[in-house]
Amino acid sequence: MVNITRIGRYVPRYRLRRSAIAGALSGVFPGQLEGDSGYRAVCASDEDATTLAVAAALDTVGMAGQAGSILLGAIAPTHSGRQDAAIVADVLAMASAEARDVIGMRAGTSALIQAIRDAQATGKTALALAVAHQRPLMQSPRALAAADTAIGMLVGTEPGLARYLGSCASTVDSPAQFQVGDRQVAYHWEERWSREVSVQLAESTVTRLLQSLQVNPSEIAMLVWPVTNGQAHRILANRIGISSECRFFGADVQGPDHGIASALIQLDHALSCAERDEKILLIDSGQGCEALLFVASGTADRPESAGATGAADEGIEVSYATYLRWAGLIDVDRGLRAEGESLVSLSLRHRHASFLARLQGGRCMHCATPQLPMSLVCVRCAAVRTQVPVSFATTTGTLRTWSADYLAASDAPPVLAGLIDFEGGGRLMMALTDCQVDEIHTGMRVKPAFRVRSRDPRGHTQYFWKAAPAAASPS
Amino acid sequence: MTTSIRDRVCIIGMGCSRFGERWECSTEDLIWEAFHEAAQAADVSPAELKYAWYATALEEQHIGKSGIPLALALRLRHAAVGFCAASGMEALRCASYAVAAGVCDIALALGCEKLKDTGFGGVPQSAAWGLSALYWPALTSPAAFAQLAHAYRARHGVDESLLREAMAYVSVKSHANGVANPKAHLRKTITAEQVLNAPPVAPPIGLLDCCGVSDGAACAIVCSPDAAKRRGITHPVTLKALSYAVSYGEEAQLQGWDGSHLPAVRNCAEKAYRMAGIDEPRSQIDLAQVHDCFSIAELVLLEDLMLCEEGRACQTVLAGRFDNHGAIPSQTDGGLKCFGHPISASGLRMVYELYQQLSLNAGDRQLQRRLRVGLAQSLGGLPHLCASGIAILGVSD
Repeated sequence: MVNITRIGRYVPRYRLRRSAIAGALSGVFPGQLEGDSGYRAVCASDEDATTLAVAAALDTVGMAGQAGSILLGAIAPTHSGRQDAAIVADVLAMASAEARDVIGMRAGTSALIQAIRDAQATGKTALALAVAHQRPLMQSPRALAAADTAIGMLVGTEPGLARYLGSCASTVDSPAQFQVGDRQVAYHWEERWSREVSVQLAESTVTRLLQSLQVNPSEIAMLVWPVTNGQAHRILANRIGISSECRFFGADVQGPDHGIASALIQLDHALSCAERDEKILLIDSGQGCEALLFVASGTADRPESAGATGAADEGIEVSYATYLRWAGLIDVDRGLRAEGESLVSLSLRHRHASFLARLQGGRCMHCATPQLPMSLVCVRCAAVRTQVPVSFATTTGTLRTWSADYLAASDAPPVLAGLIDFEGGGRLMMALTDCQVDEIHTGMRVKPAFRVRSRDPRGHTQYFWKAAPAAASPS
Repeated sequence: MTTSIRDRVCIIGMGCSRFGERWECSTEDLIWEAFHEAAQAADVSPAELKYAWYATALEEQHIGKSGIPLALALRLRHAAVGFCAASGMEALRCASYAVAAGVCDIALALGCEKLKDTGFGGVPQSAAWGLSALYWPALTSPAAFAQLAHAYRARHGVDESLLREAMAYVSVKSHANGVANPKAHLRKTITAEQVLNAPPVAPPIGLLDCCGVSDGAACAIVCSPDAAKRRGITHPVTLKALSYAVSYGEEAQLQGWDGSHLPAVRNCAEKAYRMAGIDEPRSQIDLAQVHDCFSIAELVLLEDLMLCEEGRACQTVLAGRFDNHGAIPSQTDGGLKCFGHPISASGLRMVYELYQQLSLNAGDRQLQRRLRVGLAQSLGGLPHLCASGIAILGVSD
């Protein structure tokens, strides 16, 4: 018996107003956004699918968490050949975990199924992550709705939020969204045709699932299915015989589009209001269909997700031009200074992996002074080889000095940096992120966030920790 | 028993190239320009040099940093040519120690930098293969010194407008001095209003709060007092102190330092004054050249060097104490601000100005007063991780 035991979430802090997109693309979306005040959360310039996944994983299991496997679902690989899941495992110090990326239009749900099967087979916990790092091309219909986020679900044999009952899949090559190189392509066909095909596939897949589990359709209390047509749930429910009392999730086609993370996010919403023993049917469409059945445990002991606070935060509004620059959707001349960046030394990175990936420093056993990075000789008492590892990745700190640098090469000038004093000791000069110049002040509370530090000429992305305002950054 | 360097080494010749955008010059040309002036003054040929030290941050030969560019430029066939990282002041220290130790009678210290071939403003970022390349936030030097400004204001409760006014005063003063210096990079007077309205680089540092990034070379030929006497020099300029101090991690890793001053410079100054027998620097130093890479640096360094009361640099500077007619003229040659900052030449350039003033050879900018003791202070790195060198020079009676 496998349960969903924990759920974590990450929402970037930056916000893009839908009306700003429509305004920038005058004439492209006529009459669609009059009076619209909606926004979508978008990544900062130093975020990508990998950092989103790390943030959601930390929100789900924390730095001390363990899992037998990590399954990371994404529409396309962030770094072809270099698995995102392995980077997450490195940051979370899960060296013995099996880490695999799951790619495709319903990668989030596929990652969850794989995690469940891993947990069934090994008896260990497994972490499923679904990441939506979306960069729709200008004028694409998805440009108005696509939002960036990531969600994590830990599954295992311990009691949890919902019990997994079974799943069933169908496969058809009918891609509506894919990636060619760096370009994310929306290939949505005529909407009513798409709806009909989706409903037909879902009908056959769900029917097989319910028959195999010997569950009557009338027992379904919640139908979770991210769709692009708001009638799809009702049509499917009628065809299968699902009760009219059944609550639908994912039918709000005006809301943000969380891409391949949508199914798990909607499942999270359903679980947050599910009563004990209610059956939840999860459907995810794309190149076929996947259907999963859960039974809820009730919401009483549900742990609060720190990442959810990110969703509630008002965030920082960015212009559409800034977003396009950050998302790499337009070419930018970053100046000659930027081209001095050189290759990342893999041997050096490997040698210092605990510091670079996990923000691990040392604590001197002789004088108890925490310090970053760890060194052979203690900075305070000069004792030799007395330091034991200590992670600062979840330690809050205070900004001592800071500056806004308009000279440094950056995708998001000015470069913000400051000296951070960590709670309990330890200090490091760090880049600041997720904040604007006018909100920074000496004494500001910050906490570490795993972000892109640089990309070398061969495309290798170097990650490190930056300091984000403590109130806005998920733990 | 240890002894001081005091009066055991004389400077018998110094040279300095014109600093600036020397598009037509290679490193070799700049080295020759500086060396030629020093060699003529000291009546020394390259063949007489058995020891030489070279300082550079960026070298042109693509063989790594070493003394080789100097050996190539001057064809120092018989000399042991050492290398001293990015500090002309450190090259001077090596050459002086060799003379004081009796290893040689004459030694050369030369620093050179060719920065204008990068194609962009500011100093290039440091080498890419260290750990810092994988985690250091991409902030530049002005941004690091902007942090010094924020912390200084916070510690001493200095009003922002007062700090900006004093910073502007420092820049205006250096530009006025640079105009009188034919070797300076930036030779144009500016107004405080221009400084305050200049484009921001890293607030409160604006474009006109930053020093010139220049090509240039500077050198010193040093010898023992006996060797100077043999050459007929009766009142040589001698070294009264050479001190050096570096951060060991206290500022960057422990939480005590508030970022408002430079402990390594204070440490360096204390050692230098002790070496030179100076008890009251404010009355015993006649002339100072400090590492004014940014205007805020000059203000803070004057305090760290104990040349003005802590927390009162703005008021003291604005009162004219460091003007040419003030008690301790500083940056009389335009400083890093206007003479320019070819990194490894700057320490020796400062000593060059002291040498010229103490030898009464400063031409139009010669200070009209009795000058006995001058101080030059150079800095490497950033406020939270830095190295500081100080040379104190005097004229033998």
